[in-house]
Parts: sequence; C-alpha cells; structure tokens
Amino acid sequence: MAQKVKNSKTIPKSSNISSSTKSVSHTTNKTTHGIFQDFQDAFNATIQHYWKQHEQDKRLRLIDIMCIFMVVVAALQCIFMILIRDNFPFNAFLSGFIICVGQFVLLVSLRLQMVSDFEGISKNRAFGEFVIASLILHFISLHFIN
Amino acid sequence: MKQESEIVSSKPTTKSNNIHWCVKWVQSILTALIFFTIFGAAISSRLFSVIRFESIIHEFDPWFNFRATKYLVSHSFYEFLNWFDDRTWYPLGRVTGGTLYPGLMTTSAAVWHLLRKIGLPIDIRNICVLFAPAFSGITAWATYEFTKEIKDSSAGLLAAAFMAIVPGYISRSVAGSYDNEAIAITLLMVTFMFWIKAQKTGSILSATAAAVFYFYMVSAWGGYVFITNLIPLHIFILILMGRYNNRLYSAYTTWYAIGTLASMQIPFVGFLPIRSNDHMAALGVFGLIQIVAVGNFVKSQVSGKKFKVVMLVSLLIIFVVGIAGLCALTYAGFIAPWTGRFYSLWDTSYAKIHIPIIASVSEHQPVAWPSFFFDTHFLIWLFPAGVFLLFMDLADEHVFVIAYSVLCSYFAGVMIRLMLTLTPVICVAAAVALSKLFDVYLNFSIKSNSNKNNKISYVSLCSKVFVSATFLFYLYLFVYHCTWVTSNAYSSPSVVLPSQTPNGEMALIDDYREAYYWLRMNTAEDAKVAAWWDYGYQIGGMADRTTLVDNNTWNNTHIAIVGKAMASREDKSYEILKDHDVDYVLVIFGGVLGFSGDDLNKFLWMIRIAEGIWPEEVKERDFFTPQGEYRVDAGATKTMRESLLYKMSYQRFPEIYGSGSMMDNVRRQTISLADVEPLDYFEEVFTSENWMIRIYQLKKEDQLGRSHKEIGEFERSTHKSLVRRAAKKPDVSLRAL
Amino acid sequence: MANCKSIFLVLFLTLFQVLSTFAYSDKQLLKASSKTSNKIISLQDQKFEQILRGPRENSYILLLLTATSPNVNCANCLEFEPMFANMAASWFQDHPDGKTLDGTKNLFFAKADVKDTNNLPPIFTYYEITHVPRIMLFTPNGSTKDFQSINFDGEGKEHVTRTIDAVQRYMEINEFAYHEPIDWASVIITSISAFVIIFVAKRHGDILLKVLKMRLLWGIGCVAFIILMLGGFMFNQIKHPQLAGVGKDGGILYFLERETQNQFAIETQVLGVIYGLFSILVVGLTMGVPKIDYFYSKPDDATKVKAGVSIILAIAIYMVFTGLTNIFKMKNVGYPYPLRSLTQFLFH
Repeated sequence: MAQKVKNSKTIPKSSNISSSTKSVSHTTNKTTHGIFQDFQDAFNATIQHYWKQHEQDKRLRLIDIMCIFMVVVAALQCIFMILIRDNFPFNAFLSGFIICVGQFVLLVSLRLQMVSDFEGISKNRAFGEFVIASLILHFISLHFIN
Repeated sequence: MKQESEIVSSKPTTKSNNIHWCVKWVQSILTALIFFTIFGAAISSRLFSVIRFESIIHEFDPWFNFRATKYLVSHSFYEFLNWFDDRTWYPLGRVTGGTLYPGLMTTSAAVWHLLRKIGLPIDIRNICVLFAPAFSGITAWATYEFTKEIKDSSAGLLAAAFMAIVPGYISRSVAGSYDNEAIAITLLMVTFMFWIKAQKTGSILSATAAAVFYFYMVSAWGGYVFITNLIPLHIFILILMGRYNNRLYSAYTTWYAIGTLASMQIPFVGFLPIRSNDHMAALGVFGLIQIVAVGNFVKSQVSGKKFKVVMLVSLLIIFVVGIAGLCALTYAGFIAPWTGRFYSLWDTSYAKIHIPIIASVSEHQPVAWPSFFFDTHFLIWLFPAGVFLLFMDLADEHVFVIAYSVLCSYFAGVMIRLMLTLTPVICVAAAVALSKLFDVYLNFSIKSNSNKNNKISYVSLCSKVFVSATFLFYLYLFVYHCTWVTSNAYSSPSVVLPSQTPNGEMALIDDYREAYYWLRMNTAEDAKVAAWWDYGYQIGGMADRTTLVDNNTWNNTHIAIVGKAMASREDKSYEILKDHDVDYVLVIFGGVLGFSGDDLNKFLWMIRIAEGIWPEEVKERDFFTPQGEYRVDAGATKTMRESLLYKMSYQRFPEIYGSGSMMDNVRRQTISLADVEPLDYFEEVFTSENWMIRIYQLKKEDQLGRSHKEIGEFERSTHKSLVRRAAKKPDVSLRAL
Repeated sequence: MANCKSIFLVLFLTLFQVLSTFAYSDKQLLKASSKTSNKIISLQDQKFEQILRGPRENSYILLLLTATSPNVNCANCLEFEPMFANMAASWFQDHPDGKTLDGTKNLFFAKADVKDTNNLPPIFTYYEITHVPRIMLFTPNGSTKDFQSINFDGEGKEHVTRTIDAVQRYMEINEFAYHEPIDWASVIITSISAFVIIFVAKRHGDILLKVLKMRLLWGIGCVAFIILMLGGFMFNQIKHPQLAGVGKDGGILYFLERETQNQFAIETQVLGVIYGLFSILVVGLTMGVPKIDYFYSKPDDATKVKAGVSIILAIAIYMVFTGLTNIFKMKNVGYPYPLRSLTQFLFH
C-alpha cells in the first residue's frame, strides 16, 4: 500500500499537508485532529483508487494527461494576462480560457462515461458525441477570437 | 381519441408479433394525424386578425422589428450588425446593430431567402406577419417532446394540444405580432426539451443541442436570463436533495461551457455572462458541481461517516470563500450588480421609486387573478394539482418542472408580461394531471377480464364514463373559451381599432395610419417628429420620419426631455423643441372617441419621468388639484392648463359642435371654451378623422423679431374674427368604441 | 326663582366664555401636552379655538385631522395613526419640554379625530374639512388661520419622512429624528421561536431532518405557494387594494365586479380556497380513488365504493368550476361560457 502511494507524484504534497496538520493539531483539541485524520485517510484512499483505474484502462491515462494539459494552458494564459497587466483583446483571452475549461469538462464527461456507461449510451457513441461537441466548441471559440 | 390510442399500447399484448406491429402502425399514423390537426389549430386560431383586418404588423415593437428585417433583407448581414440608425433618438442616433437581439430578424430573413431560392418569392411583410403562427406549431411539438420526457406520450399530446390554443401564448403570437417573444417561447421550450433529455441520459450531444438552442434563445430575447438561472437552480436543488450523479455532471458542464461561450457572440450581450450578477448563479453552480464531482469520487472510496465530516468541512470553507469572493468582486466593480428590471422583480416597490420608465409600461404591472383564468381557463386549476402529482413521483426531471412552476408563478404575478413564460409550464403540468386522470378513468380494459360479476363491472364502467365525460366536456369548453378569448382580446392590431357604428355595423378606426400616411406624404423627408415614446417605432416604420424617442427606452434623459416639453409652458416647450430641431409634434387624443390609452392618460408618467431628471422644473403635485384629483376641466390647475400637452389635446375641442363646451369621453369631464388657452407657438396642421391623432407644426421665427406670444396677442386683439386656421377640419361622427 | 336661576346660568356662561378666551401660552401648551400619556393635545371639543388662537410666543403646533371611525373607511388615517403617535414620542424623547436644542422654538402635537360620523368635532366644521387626513403646522404668534398645510403623500413610511421634512423646513431646524418604535412583541416572538428552533434542532435533529425531507410537506407548501400567486397575491402586495367593498345596502362585497384588471384583496383568499378545493378533488380522483382497494377485502365492495366516490368527486369538481366561472362572469360581464349550476339543471 505504501509503495503504491510512493508512485504518485503528489506524495510530497500530501506528506507536507500531514506534517503541517500534525504541528497544528498539537495545540488544537482532539476533534480537529480527528478531522484532519479523516482528510488524510480519504485522500490516500482516493489516490489509490485513481491509480487502480489507470492500470485497468490505458485510455483513461490519455484523457487525464489531456486534462492536465488543459489546466496548464489555462493557467499559463492567466499568468500571461497578469504579467502584462492588460486584458486588451478580452474576447481573445476569454475564448482561449473558456475553450480550455470547456474542453476540460468535456474530457471529464467522456472519462466518466468510459469508467461506467450511462444508461442507453454506449462507449463508442459517447466518444462520437464528445467529438461533435468539441468541434462545436472549437468553432464557436474560433469565431469569438476574431 | 388520442388517449385511447395510447392506452391500446399499454395493454399487455401476448398476441402475435404481427398484431403488435399493426397496432404500432395505427398508433404512429394517429399520432401524425393528431399532430397535423394540432398544427392546423395552432395556426388557424392565430389568423383572426388577418381575416378580420388585413395582413398588417401589430402594435409598437413589431414595427421596429419589421423595419429592421427590411433593412436586413436589403443589406448584408454584417451591415446589419453594424447598423447605425440616425432616424431615431435624434440627435443621438442609435447603434441599432449592437443593441438588438438579432435572432428574430435573422430567422425571418433566412426564411425569406430560402423561399426565394426554391422559387417562392413572398413579400417580407407576409413572412413577418405569419411568422409567429408558424413558430407556434413548432412550440407545440417541442412541448410534446418535453412532456413526453416528463410523463409519457399521451400527456405529451395533451400538452401539445393545450399549448397550441392556450390564450396565454396566443396573446403574443397572433399573426402580425412580430415580436421577439414569438420566437422566444419556441426556443425556450426546445432548449428545455433538450435539457431534460440531457439531464436524463447524460448525453453530451443533447447537452450540446441544449446549449446551441440556448444560444439561439440568447440571440432572440432578453428573457434568456430565465434559462440561465433555471437550469442551475435545477442542478442545485438536485445536489441538495443528494441526487447528484455523473449524468448531471456531463449534462450541465457541457451545456454551461458551450452555452456561455456561444452567448457572448451576441453583440448586445457581450461580456455580460461573466460580468453581471444575473449570470453568476450559473457560474457558481458550475464550480459547485466540479467540487461535488470530486466529492462523489472520494465518496465511492471512503466510508460514509468519515466522508460526511470531510464533505461538511470542505463545503463550509468553499461556501464562505465563494460568497466573500463574489462580494469582493462586485464591490471592486469587476461584476456588475443586478440590473434594474431584475430588482423590480424581487423588490416590488423598487421600480416605482427608482425607475419610473419601467413602472410606466403596462406590461410591467402586477396581475389580478382574472387574467390567469382568462389566459388559461381550466388549466389554471389543473396546474397546482399537476404539480402536486409530480411531487408524488419526483424524478429528477420533475424537480425541474416544479422549480419552473414555483418560480414562474411568482414572476407572472409580479409582471403581466411574464405570464408568457408561465403558460408553457401550466400546459405541461395540467396535461400531466389530466393524463394521469385519464390513465385511471379511460382505462376500460383490465376489470372486464378479471371480474366475473358483470353487474359490478357495469357500475365501475358507468362511473368511469361519467368522470371521463365531465373532463372531456371541460376540454370541449376549453376550446370554446380559447377561441372566444383569442377573437375578442388578442386579435386587434391596435393600429386599426375595431368599433361599432350606432346601428351595429362593424367599422374600423384607422386614424393612426391616416396620420402616419399624412406625415409621410406632406412633410419634408428629414422632418423631425416629437411624440411620446410609445409611438416612436410606428412613426419610424409607417411614416418613415425621424423621431426623438422610441420604444427602445435606452436613454431615460432623452425621454424625459420629451416629457418635460409636454409638461412645460408653451414658450418653454418651444425652446426645448427648437433646440432639438423638431418640426412637428404629434399627440394622441382620445377624448372624442373615448379611447382611454391616449396621451393625457399617460401624462402622469411623462411628468414623473421628467421630474426624475428636473425635480425643480417639473412637479407632479402642480398637476393635481389641492384635493389631489387629476382634473382637466375648469377645476384643472394652472400648470395643467398651461402645459403643452393639455393645450394641444383640447385645442378647438370645445367648439366641435359649436356649443362652446364638450364632454371628454375618456375622463368624463366637460371642457369649455374658457379652459383652453390659444396656442401661439404651434400651428395645427393635421387632425385625423376621429381626432385621435393631432399634429402640430412649430411656427417659424418671426421676421420682426417678436416673440410668438406677442404676435398671438396682437392678432387676437386686432382682427380676431379674420383669423382662420388652415387646418383640415374633419367632420365628426361619434362612434362607440 | 326661575329668573334667578337663569341669570345665574347666563353669568356662569359668560364667565366661562371669558375664561375660555384666554389663549394658551407656551407653558400652558406644555402643560396640556404633558397631561396626556402620548403627549398629543386632543382637540376634540370647542377648546381647540383657544389653543390654536395664540399668541403662542415660540410654539409651533403640528395638527393632525383624521378619522379612525370605521364608517369613514379611511385606510390612510388608520395607517398613519400609530406613525403620528410615534412621531410625537420621538420628538419628546429628544426634547423633553418640546423645546428645540437652542431653546428658541417649541413644537407640540395636536390631533382631532372623527370617531363618530354623526358627531363631528367642531374643528372640522370650523376649517370646512372635507378630506382626511390633513396635516397642518401652526406657526408662532399667529391666529387660527395662520397655518401651513403639509401635503399627505407617498406611501407607508414616506408619510412620516415627508411630514418631518416639511416640519423641519418650516421651523428651520434639523433635529427632528424619527425613532422606530421597538416592537417588543415581535422581538420576543422572534427570539422565542429562534430558541425553540435551535432547541428542537439540537435535541431532535433527526426528526427535524425527517420533517425537512418530507416530500408531502414540500409538495403541499409548493402548491400552496403557487395557488397564492395564481390568486393575485402579488397584486395585493404591490397595489394595496381595499380588503373588500361595501355594497349599496351596506353589506360586504367580496368581488370587485366588472373589473378584470383589478381586485379586492379578499378575492385572493376566495380564489385560494377555490383552487385549493380543485387541487384536493383532482388529486383525490387520480390518486385517492385507486387506493380505496386497500381498505376493502372484498373487491366487489371496493369497486362500488370507488364508483360512488369518483362520481361524487366529479360532481364536486363541476360545482366548484361552476362557482369559478360565475365569479369570473361577475368580473367580466361579457363572458359567454359560465357553467350552469346543478340547481339550474334540476329546476329548468
């Protein structure tokens, strides 16, 4: 179990949180300590499950990498906007940002359907729908960017 | 008939496949037939006004839409979007392309082009006139699909039939009522239909379709904000009820992401979806559902008790941070606070105090109960029952209908125009109630097999027939009621007024068009006409003259200028009007005819709006007698009698029959010759047949440099009897309106 | 003896007259004002003249002429009554002697009220009052005719603010503050109910949760809300119509006839009952009747009862609908499709 957790990149983060919580919980009472403990347990269990999913279905890994990419691109745009302290072609920024968000939620929607089918929609159909929705999203976004 | 056809299908069929197939065939043919008749009924019941009068655009706003459509047809789409209209709001002009919802015009222009392509060149006017009836057929279909998702297809058929002929919807979609609402209700129902489908199946495609139609709706009507808030509310309630599932996630996030991006394409909407508070609820729910989705993922791994604690704490933190963030952003000015119309929905006295221009519109008045019955007949009492029955099932999609009906019944109560958005849900809920009732009482199949005692089944049959018969009778009555309401109340173009001559014949009062035609033919092409804003679109559309203000009430100050001119003394008004290059002043006067919607009855609003800008110069109190009465006869206040509108309305009025006094048929007060002071700065140039419209021209500056008042006094003192007015003096025959 | 008596009487009367002609000074006004519990001088009787005649050296008198008698049916008067009392209380709370802070001016409050329409207080005839409520501000050193009329306009609290503004303008002061009365009853009720709710939530959280999750409760609540709205509740909230009308013979009118765009406030209640009945009957027909099966062991009995109940419910719906359409016909006289009532069917 511990080994599996080690595999994840996020482990330094989680240990950070737990160490800081420990230092805090010295002074606070037992209930808050319990709450942090709960958080930690929940976090560990979730991470575990997440990696298990990846092992079962390689496509999920692809989707997740895409998702992370979207988040990174959106964050980059935001940072850029803050750095130049101007949002002049606001529609360009907006369409760039929203397309990341939109593509992200579409990917998550697809991922949910890959993990467990929705009633009446096969995995292939879900993928087809995803493609159509993405095309529409990109078309609108292109139009908006000018 | 329709109910029975559905019940046939619900019969447990153990017979051969062949028969089953046959039944299905008959069923679909019947459904098609029913739809055909529903379409027919929907369209034909909206044609009263065309048959009775002619193919003409109605009322006020449609005239502008018509004018814009004509512009779109004769110019390119991009020219249309960049259209700057210098014929209204003189001297400001109006950036029309950026301040209108182009959905309606674009659609009808597209229809026009399509018909031309296939070799059917139809006049754009006829397309515009018949636009609303055609779309009402589509609305009926969308209502069918919507209700089908809520209950089943038998309820759907009932709802479609209701929707086709219910007066609450007909009121805004008769032939000639070429307004945004005509297309908006159709789009509203289509969007909702796709939303319900998306929410039920989680299909990305349905959600995308909902988003695309939402975009269409945004392009067509300002009321799209209703959808923007209702769908998030639906999701929010479902989350609160602990009914979150992954289908909701994919439906909502897809809809929101695509819908928001798309809605920002409309120039008039612009960045509102991320800036204005009206749209923040949708954004908030978008954020919430992400968190809930993560929470749901965690929940599937962690024991219930631990999860509860984790969830509660994190929710609390997020909630506090979110509210604080929203407040901070609003305070810092990144997000616009709620708009005035929105406030006036919640705080009902807000509009009256702060924005008289909104309060002055009769559509924004609250509704007394008879209007509800008038507009929906027996659906009004099936509606609450239907909502209650939905509560008993309470599937996810039923929550939507319930939220819709609760919210909208409140809105409709506050503003009469929102009756229009309530009507679809009344039809749906009533159809659900009625079809549930028919499921029980029109079902004659089961008992006869299981029960051996014929006598008993006979009793049961009788009772069922009786109950069904009463409700079929109500349906029958409903049709009559709808026809009566439609033909009596909603089929008048209000440009042409129907009336009866003393011997009972039908006559048309066509004063508006007479006057507008006169303006068109007898005035210079660049003449500016000052009139109260209600008539701006009509003057622009029918007379093709430049106006100072019109029904697009974007500039309150400009409207107040006209109000001030109407309420001030003649010399002062002359100055104001001269400053704005006005050549003609047009007033509506119903005193002869008994037409109550005239300018003197709207006068108080003019005064109030003007008072809002110049509280020192115009005072509402000065127009009321010390007893607080609004009088126009000998008891009228001095300010009242000196006001421009009063003088213009009653000029020459007491002398109509030569008796020197005359009864005003609207205000039921007698005006005598002494009450009406002469006009010095204006000259009467036209008065329509029934005195409804009077047009005055501003006199030219005197060559000798005298003021007009001096000239007037001079002339009156010297050759009183020689002065003859050049104006046309129509003979008056009284008619009952 | 009789003569003697009459002379005595005349003497007494003249003495009284002489006495009564003494006008009220500032001090006397203060005395008269502090005699009453709410510090408002009552001008119900003939004495008003001598109070108002002056010379009041530095005193202003704010006079309210009102009619709280139910016969007059003056909604504004009834609404303004407590506000006026509270205005007086606010003034005297800040200025115990009725004196302004710089001590140069006084302000007192006076009131005359039509309590009985057959017996008008003389002040009403003196000033030829035809409309109530009227507010007058009597200026110092003036006669009974030296007053400023203060307009009574606006709505609700605006009456108070506008009146106070006018008084301050005329008196050239800026210290008349209106203190909202603390409604102890509502404070107590709120705190008690808050306490009860918290207590219940604490002790019986699970029960409360159950109640909150009760579908039936929510259903009834929502339907009741919708019915209220359909009955024109918001119209009452915004337009503040009369509660009910008075007929020619003095009876109560429940419906404002011949007006489709207008209503009495009571119509909402009537319509609420009607729509509520409809909902109960329709729900009874669709859900209640099929459930009768559970209560009877013999299917034959159940069928009979079901048949009977459903017919009765259908007839009841017809009757209520008849009522509704006929009420609507009262409002919209030209309505051609009112249902005929059952009695009409039976006797014609």
